Amino acid sequence: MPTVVCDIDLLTLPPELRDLTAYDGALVLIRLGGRPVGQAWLPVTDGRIDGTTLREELFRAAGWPPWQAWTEAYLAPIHPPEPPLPSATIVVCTRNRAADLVDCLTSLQQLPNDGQELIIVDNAPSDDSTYRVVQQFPAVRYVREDRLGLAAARNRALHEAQGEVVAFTDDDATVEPGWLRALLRNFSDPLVLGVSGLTMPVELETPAQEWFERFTPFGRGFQRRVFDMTNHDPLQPNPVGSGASLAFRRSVLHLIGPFDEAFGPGTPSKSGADTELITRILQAGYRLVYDPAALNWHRHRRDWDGLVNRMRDYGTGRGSRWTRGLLLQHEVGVLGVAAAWLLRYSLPRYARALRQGRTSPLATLIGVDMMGWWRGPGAYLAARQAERAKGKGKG
Amino acid sequence: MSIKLLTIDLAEPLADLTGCDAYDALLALVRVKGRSLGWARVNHQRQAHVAASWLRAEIANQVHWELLPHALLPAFIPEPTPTPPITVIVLSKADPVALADCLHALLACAYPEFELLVVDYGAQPMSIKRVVDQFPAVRYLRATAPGAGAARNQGAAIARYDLVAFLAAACCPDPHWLSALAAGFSVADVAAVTGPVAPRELATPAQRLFEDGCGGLGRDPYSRTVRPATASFSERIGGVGMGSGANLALRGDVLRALGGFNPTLDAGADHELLVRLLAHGMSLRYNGDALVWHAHPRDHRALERALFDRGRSQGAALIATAQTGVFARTALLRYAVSIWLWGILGRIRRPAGLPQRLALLELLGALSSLTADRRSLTSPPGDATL
Amino acid sequence: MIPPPTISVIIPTHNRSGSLRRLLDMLGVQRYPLAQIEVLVIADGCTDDTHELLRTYRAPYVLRSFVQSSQGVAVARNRGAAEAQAPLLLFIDDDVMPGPATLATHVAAHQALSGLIAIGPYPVAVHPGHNLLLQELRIWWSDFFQKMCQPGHRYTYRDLVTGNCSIRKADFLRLGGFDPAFWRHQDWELGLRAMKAGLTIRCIPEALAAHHVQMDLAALCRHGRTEGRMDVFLATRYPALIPHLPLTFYATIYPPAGKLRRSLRILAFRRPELGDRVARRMEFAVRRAAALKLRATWRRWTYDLRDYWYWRGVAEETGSLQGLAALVASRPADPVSAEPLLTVDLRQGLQAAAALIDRERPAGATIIYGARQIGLIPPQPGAEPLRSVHLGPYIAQHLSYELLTALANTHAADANPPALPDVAAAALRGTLR
Repeated sequence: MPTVVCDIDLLTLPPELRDLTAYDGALVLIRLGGRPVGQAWLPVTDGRIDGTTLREELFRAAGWPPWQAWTEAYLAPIHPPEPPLPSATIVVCTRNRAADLVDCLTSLQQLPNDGQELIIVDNAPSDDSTYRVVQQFPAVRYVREDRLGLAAARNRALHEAQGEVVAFTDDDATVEPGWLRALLRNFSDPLVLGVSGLTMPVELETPAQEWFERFTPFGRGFQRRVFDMTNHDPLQPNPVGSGASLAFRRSVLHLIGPFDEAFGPGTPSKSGADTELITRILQAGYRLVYDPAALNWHRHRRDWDGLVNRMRDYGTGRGSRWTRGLLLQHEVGVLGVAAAWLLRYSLPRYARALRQGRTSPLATLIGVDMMGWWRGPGAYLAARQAERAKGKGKG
Repeated sequence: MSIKLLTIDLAEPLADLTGCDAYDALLALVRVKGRSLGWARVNHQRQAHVAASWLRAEIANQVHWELLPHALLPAFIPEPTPTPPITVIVLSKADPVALADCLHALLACAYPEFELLVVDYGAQPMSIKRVVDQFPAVRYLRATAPGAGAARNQGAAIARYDLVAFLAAACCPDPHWLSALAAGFSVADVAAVTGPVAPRELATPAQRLFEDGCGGLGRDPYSRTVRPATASFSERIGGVGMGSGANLALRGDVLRALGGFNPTLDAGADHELLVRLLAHGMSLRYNGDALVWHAHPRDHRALERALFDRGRSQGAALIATAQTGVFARTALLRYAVSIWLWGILGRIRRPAGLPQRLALLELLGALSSLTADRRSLTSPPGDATL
Repeated sequence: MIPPPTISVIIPTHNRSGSLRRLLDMLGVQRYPLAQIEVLVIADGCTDDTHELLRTYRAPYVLRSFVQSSQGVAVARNRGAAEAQAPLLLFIDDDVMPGPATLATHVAAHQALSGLIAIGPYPVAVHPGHNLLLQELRIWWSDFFQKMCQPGHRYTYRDLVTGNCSIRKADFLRLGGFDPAFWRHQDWELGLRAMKAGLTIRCIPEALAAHHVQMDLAALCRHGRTEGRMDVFLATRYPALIPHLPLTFYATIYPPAGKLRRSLRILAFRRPELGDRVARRMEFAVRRAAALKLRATWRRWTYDLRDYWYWRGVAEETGSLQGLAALVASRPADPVSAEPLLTVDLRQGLQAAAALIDRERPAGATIIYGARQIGLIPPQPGAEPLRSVHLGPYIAQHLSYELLTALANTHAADANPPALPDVAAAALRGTLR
């Protein structure tokens, strides 16, 4: 049975949730005055969640963050003014998904107009459907990038963008009206080169979607966190955020360099373009911020095979990143990270999952993730070669 | 050493307390608008006069986390729930004075419609009957079989209403008790509602030992729903921490579907039923607002008996659970040894608050349940521990 | 007739002629009338080609240079101030590169506010070859200035850094200049006197400069040792500071010190010659960790090492643990009770509370809500008096739980609690701001 995704504000708690007969569980995004402060998984009984359970569970799940938000809201009248926000360019990289793109663009039109620029990068399209969709929206720039790969598309966007900050979102995601401003607010610290936001699932209708959300959620909690090399190991970029809601200062191009085009969807390494750049930013002594106030909604893959492939891609990307760290950057720490990941995280979980059967969903997901690692080194070398060949072809 | 018990509603004005020099400390149940927030223990330095403002600040410092949503988020207060009629079954064994107190308190409950039924399963029927006769609105039933399990079943069989609440005669219900029980049933899929059993007085050392040294009967004010899917191991098998039969409400159809309480059990029948309820996939609600006040044993001898009985009744309930066959023997054994007996042994080895001798008595009680012929039901008279 | 200069740039320098030349070049391209600029370079015990540079440099502004034997940077700055002809002094370090607007911004800031000490941020400039130590320093300095630029920042004497800092000559002379007894932290010491004299420290973000820092592990250790000694000086002269100086925390568990750190501290006092040997070994280990990019290990050891040298400096000045204990014991009794606190009642309204603080400018405040106490904004030695902008951020950071419980307890009985009708809007503003 599927899980319903609800969005509840503690200031306007409903008496109860009704008409959920099609669902047996609920994932509730908890807000206070619009600010996301927590989430809770609740059971649905007889098509409803009664008011008592709702209240008890929401407050238990949310803990302190709603109260910090309450205090800040209360003190807002005497809070000193905030510095002005930097200019921004929003970039959506897409490939042959015109239908999803309509929702995404519609939500982007709802953002308050702070003079932001909007670019759609069409990555090696097989037809002109994306172009036709973009034509329907005013003030959207259409850029076509024929080199296949998300990293290539994003690099193109970084070069094309005019704004001081470039905010990336996915074509299968929709953004909240406050999304961009919440991201931009964090750039007042000059050391901050990147900010990631909270991504919630827009629906959990199929088992694949629910497993994805439980196994590798895009969200990273409800507390704002600042990452730099003094408080976080650069070789562990995952807690920093996910690629579905990620903004970089454009100067990252000359301070750190572009996305490594050996990574990401469309390359042999399959994934890891964002995390690889995050690692380099941290290694260079700059900062990244995770701010849950910047909220967008993502539609996870509905089919199980898609999910399994995605997990394999994640694993491959991770293995590739480790290979790159060890071979190219001589990061000895990679060995420790990989060993810890395997021994402390994956293997124990895999062992537990195996108790439910070799083909149980959890065992499958962890299994393909680990299989992905083994492909990582080969995939990375292949990707490097492909990239070099491309470079030669051009030269 | 004695402790004064208070109930303080933060939403109501508080008067200064006088005559407190006889007490060593104050223990207050703190509420707001009838909802329990928590317990606050205040050391008033044996002052006779305790100023309301001081007391208020002291207790407020101990329970604020629970107070926050009540006071600062108006939407947190749920809408009023339906109040179906309830049959209250009071189980009385030997203590007519306690029963009279209990009935007075019940009649003071603010609730639209409920009936009262006293089930007498003790050895001296006349004294109980005499008390009940003083209350024209209260029905009397003489149990024909010994033991609290059978007595509860007989009472439930003649209940007029679908919702049945069981109460031990040694307990005085709080004025909000019935409405809080009914509110518990408004939670979806809940088949039974229990609540905290707080001490009515902590005047003697024995009472303090009972409450602080061995956990009392559970006065934890935090509401929760125990669901089979998410219940812990000791909740599922031992029925631990989910309330007790001294303060329990069930739907009549649920009780019938489960086949009633185990009639061969006396004390312990309640826990066995709660375990069976969870095992049948039903949920239980522990509502912190559905509070009753229990008269703890006053003298040391009664305390010893109560502890012995506790060990014995838990053992008996566990054996009865084993006989129903819903759990694997290994799980039961694991629970019995590694959680229940291990806990008692821990109290014997490292006595914290409870004298070693008393913990030993509990162990003896536990062991005696193995050999005792449970059918004989030879537990001594007294309502102290149901 | 030449008009008198309006700003005197004072540059103490020591053997950094290359960096000094770039700085002099930058001063020549300022967006400020060059005729009104006077630059005074005080060469302090230079043995490189600094003198040659100063003799031959063709500056588009008035450049005057002075030579002194190694007497320290405090003496050099005092000398510059004494010789300066303009009413405004700008101290710039020889490794700091001002931006083209720096001078103009400093002048404008002083025109807007009297009694000002203006600090221009000079975060560490980025070099591609930066090692872990310089990256760490970059983060530290960037944070330092970033915090100072926050509107809710409460300035203390520690915010006075003299790499890019301007003050009126009259104010500087009134304070008596830098104290030559301090060959480090003389800026803090001046900051303490400036705070006492009622001067205002402000960060002016537009006066941005770049700091081309040169630092290696040995220098870090040297600095740590000097800082330890200077802290003892500070503690002796200003006992009120003692509770806030790290030397108070020798034996306490805060900040938590690991086993290695505690052993090294003992060595610093009991067996310094052995300690120094261990420290040199550790320097080697730290370098190995850096080469292997084991960041966490490198960081822990570096901080342990710096901690050792700090305590080594403290031990040098206090002589023994008994000496340290006597110094720490000489602190004044509870400073909180010594200063009168302003009572601020938030129930009167936040705006009213803020206005009250701006009117009274107290050293510290007791925050209450009706009959309930929320907490204290404690007076800090060497900090500016409170302003209204400090109130909101301080409560949000330190007292939010206390504020909530005070509100909840006060309004528990109300039918309409202070979930003000515009709380949602305010919170939303928080999100969308």
